[in-house]
Amino acid sequence: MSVALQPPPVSSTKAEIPRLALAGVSKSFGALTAVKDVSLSIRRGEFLSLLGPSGCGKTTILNLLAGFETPDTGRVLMDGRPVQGAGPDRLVIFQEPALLPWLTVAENIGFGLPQKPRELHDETVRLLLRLVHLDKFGHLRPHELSGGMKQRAALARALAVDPQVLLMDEPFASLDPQTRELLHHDLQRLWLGLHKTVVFVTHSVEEAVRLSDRIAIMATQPGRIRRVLDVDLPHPRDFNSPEVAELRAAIREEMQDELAKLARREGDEGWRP
Amino acid sequence: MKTKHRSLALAIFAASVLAAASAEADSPSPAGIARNLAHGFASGDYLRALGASALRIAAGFTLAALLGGALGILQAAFTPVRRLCGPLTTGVQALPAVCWLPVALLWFGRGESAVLFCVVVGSLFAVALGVRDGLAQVPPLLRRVGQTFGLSRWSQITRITIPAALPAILAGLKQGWSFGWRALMAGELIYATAGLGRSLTAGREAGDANQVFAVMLLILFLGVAVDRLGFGLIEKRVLAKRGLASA
Repeated sequence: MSVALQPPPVSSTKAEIPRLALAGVSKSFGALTAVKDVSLSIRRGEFLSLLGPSGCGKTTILNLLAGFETPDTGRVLMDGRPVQGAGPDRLVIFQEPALLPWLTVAENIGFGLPQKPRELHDETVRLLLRLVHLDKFGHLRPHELSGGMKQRAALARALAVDPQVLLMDEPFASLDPQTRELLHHDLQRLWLGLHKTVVFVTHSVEEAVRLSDRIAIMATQPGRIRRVLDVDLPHPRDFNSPEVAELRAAIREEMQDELAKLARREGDEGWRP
Repeated sequence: MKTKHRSLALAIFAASVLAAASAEADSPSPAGIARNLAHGFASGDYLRALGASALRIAAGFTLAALLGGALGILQAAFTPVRRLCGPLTTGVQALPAVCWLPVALLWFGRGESAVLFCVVVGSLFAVALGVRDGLAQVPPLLRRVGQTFGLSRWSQITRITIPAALPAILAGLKQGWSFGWRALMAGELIYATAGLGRSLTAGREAGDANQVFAVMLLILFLGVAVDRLGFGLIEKRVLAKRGLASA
């Protein structure tokens, strides 16, 4: 069996400096403790999912990594250096596509690129449009695109600046299942080709199992990392294979008490395994 | 759009008054108004009046846009300024500009400056409100887009904040213009050596109802033209780009 349950890795004992690291990080908003004493290392080029029910602090962790928030205690490190504010080395892809409505699709994709020399800029944008299958739609405005197309454009806009890290905050949560599957395929193709480090926030077990090298399962109240799972299965993953079924069952089991806790708190809303 | 309804109502009102009044002998008639307009334009009187009014509104509105823009920016950027001036701006904006006329006459006497003052205070608070709310209501998500792409403070303003605030800023400018235009007409009725408001007074003084209605038509025409063709078209383009229906 290729599924291994491991305790959260401790970053300081590793020889290799992790791409991203949280060391004993806590963050509160007023009386609410969003995350408590979280330690996690993310290796270069790995695809790590933060999996958990709503309100477990996974978005807070992403915002801390992004530099949108600063930790109350503990440290957030990129390549061993403290993160200070947001920046294009850790590009964030939001749940909403967050395209700029006054720009065309092509202008949005070129947003983070140097605007000069013009020919290079235009050629790069053309390549990126092709990369996300939007060749014919560069001249449109965001409001003229479907949800999936918008999110692909947002992905291309992020890849344009060649970030070392992509931080993705439930980017496909508002898409229909078919579109989501297509985007999983696109993202995986791009990730396998470009060797980016990806931190992917999701509440979907399927999504995490399909995409990740490692899955950090989170616990609620306060938000913390319950366990980190290695997923040593080749891509693309066959959802009918016994290994995948076994992994999903293992995750479900791991999350049972979290689900129960959440069900007690909120009824049955907000979380579907 | 409020201004549209108002000008439409005014046009219907003017037309019905004309129709009713035409029945009587000494009253204005469509033919009389047309004759008056033809004569006024031929002699150059109305062009001079239009020019004088246009010059005043241009000067007054430019000043109001600059001052109102600055006031709006200050309020959006600094919380204490917003706390202090915010309610005042909203309140004063609701005050009809004509109410400033007595103040203007007290402070500046009967003169150009008094009229200009009315135009500026009439329109600057509407501009300030539009600019303030536009800048303050930029979606936080778009700010974060700027941050994650590592924009400098300056780029954040020019590439995110201003384009995001543009529809609200335009709406403020448009409303400011329409308030300023009304203030100007009121001011010119009281004092002016030339201008459409002055021509209106002249018509009344001469007992020439045809002239009064002719000048009213000119005022209406200029007001609608700037509102629709100037601000209207720009606003339409800006909103269409963003996939927003124009109101």
